[in-house]
Amino acid sequence: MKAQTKQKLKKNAVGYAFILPLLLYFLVFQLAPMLIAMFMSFTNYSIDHLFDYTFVGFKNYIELFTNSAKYPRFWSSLKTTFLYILLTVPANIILALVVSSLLNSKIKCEKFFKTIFYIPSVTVGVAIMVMWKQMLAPDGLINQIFSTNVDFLNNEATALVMFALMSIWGGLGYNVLIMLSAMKNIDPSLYEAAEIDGAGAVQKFLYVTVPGVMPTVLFFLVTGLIGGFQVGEQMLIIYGDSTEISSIYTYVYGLYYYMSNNEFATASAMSYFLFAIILVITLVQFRIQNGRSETMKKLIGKIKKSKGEKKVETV
Amino acid sequence: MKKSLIKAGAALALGCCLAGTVAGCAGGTASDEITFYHYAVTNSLTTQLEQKLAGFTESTGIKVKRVAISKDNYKATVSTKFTSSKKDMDVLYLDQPLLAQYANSNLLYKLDDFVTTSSEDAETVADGNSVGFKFNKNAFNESAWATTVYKNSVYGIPLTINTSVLFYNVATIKEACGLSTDGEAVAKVEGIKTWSDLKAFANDINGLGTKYALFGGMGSGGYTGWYSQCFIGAAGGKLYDENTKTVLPDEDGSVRRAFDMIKYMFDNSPEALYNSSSGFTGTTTAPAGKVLFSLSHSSDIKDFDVAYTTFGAIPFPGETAEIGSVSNLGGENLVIANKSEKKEASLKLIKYLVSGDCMSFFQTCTNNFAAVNKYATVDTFSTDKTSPAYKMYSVVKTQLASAQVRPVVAGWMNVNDNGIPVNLKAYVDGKKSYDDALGTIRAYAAEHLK
Repeated sequence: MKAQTKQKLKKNAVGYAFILPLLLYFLVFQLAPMLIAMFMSFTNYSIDHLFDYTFVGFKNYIELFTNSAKYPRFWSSLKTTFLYILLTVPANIILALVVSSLLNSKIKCEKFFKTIFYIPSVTVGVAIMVMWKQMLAPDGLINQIFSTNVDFLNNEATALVMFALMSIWGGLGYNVLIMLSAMKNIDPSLYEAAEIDGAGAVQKFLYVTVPGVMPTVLFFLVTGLIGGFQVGEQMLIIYGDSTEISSIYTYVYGLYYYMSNNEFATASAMSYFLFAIILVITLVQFRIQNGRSETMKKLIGKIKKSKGEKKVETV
Repeated sequence: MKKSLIKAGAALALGCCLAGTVAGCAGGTASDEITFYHYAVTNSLTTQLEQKLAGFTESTGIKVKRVAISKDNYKATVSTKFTSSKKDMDVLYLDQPLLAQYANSNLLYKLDDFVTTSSEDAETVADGNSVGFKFNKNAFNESAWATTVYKNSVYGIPLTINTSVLFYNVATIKEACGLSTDGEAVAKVEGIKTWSDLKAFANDINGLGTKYALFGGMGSGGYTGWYSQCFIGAAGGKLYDENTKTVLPDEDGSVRRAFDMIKYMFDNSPEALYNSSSGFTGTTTAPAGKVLFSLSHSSDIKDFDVAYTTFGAIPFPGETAEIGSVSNLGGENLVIANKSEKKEASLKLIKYLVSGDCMSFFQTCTNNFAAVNKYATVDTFSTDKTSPAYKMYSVVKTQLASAQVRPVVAGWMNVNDNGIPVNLKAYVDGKKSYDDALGTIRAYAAEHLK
């Protein structure tokens, strides 16, 4: 047995050697910081206690929720984050569905449009933000086109919506590509069956396409929620670590504030609370997805069965 | 078998090389080199700074490695550097309110042994100590110096200073007040010395609150925390009482009056106008903006020094003539990291940076005034005494004389960035009563001040 293992190890030595640097990188720069942050979240580690920090249990977590005097922006930052998610996630899904359906309807230049939509996805995020910043500036392109006078990114009413729009625009190409693949994977016989049953284009979309891409929609929901909860970097690029606009103060933006103010324990606790939220939502969604998959399988089975019966009748 | 071992070895070597390269890129400092952290500036200014530092190296033999960081990310980067065990940070810019925070955590080098008071007209005077000089406290702006003193010890040397004034767009004032000449508009604004004058001025505006906003510049972030000091100081109050450890002491009602004045300004400044592209500055095609005043500092003057319209500035008006004009103080200090192993060389670099060789450069870089009195000149920014820019810088310089120092207390940055602005805005928006807002600010401060 031992000799076998030894031989297996020798056989795979090259492979292990190749992955070793990446494995080391993962352990040192990803796993270790995550574990250290978790440890920190249970201490009072901050600029005042760099070398004499003590274990404080769940105090940091409890205070985030209960001590509004100490963390006055905690709840409002969560609210802002939820608002951002509400603005982006449904819009991302609906747009991806609509655009993919159009591209899937055998239009001309499908590849060209796919490329056009995908360009933002291969562009550097910072460059995109800088471009939008210029376009949304008071003397920028958007104001010139609409003959408006709004400083979109420095207006409490419009700032968050602008970030949502930037995100929707930036993610559309990727979403369309994934959604289109999902649509192309739908069994064509389902459309044929629907046609035989007298379904029109809208009905086919609602009763065949949408259920067929539901796993992808759920995938978008999961990734959209995760991405939505993590939004903050874009705000940092535009405003730096301090802004006068409270409507863009998202959870992660606040987390960054505590990091830059050396309140590492607070920032770590916030990170793990965020992790917990994302974990719970993801688990719930996967559970729903599993349930739906079973239902879908049954539904497809039924349709195929009924299609078979109809063919027999025709014969 | 042998072949696969060679392959494995080669792969490992490749991986190690890659890791080594990455580690090598992280860099370190040579033993005869000190590291200077500063705000990133334009390419041309960077070239000038490099030339200045080359001059320092030539005269002292001390090499300087520059680390330029964008102002927006400076605090985060420096904070991380302070907490790392690496000793590759010697001299650095530090925003005034951060000094107490770092000094309290014993991260800054105490400079008491290198400071003196001398009647000599020089920022440093010769001394028999290890570095051969001491910094002359008398040569620096008094308020700026106060920002470097934490618990009776000096932790920094002031580099540049700034304060807030009320800027105005002449064309907007002229239009809003129905005046026919720029001269009339300027005269009308310059008549504002007190809050009553300001309110009387506001009453003369046609469409105030609908067509025109009274002011812009404040929101709900760190700047609002800083600007609120102008109002509180101008009402005769202060941000912090050292003796009673009270934040926003209000026995005389000064803080309440300041909050009410801020509310009055906001109430007459609808956001739709305040945040429009023709807000304060106007545009090239429509020079008159919609915002009458902007509470800001000299860093913005370069943006107002434009051809299409004329801007001006007045000192921040006091609540009454007796109190007079009072404002806030901002700027940067130079500090030495306590973990630096090259403190003497660092002191020499600071001496050079605050000397006449460099001060005008830093004024140009930051659009702030030099903290050394004799180098704080308007001429650095503009030599044309009749130009609007010269006049605006002159107003800022005058205002500096009555600029108040922020509390040099560890944790004040938090109170400035969150405690005050969040609750002040809640009061202004009618979401909190005055007592509630003040109580919450104090509760926040109690959690954060050390």
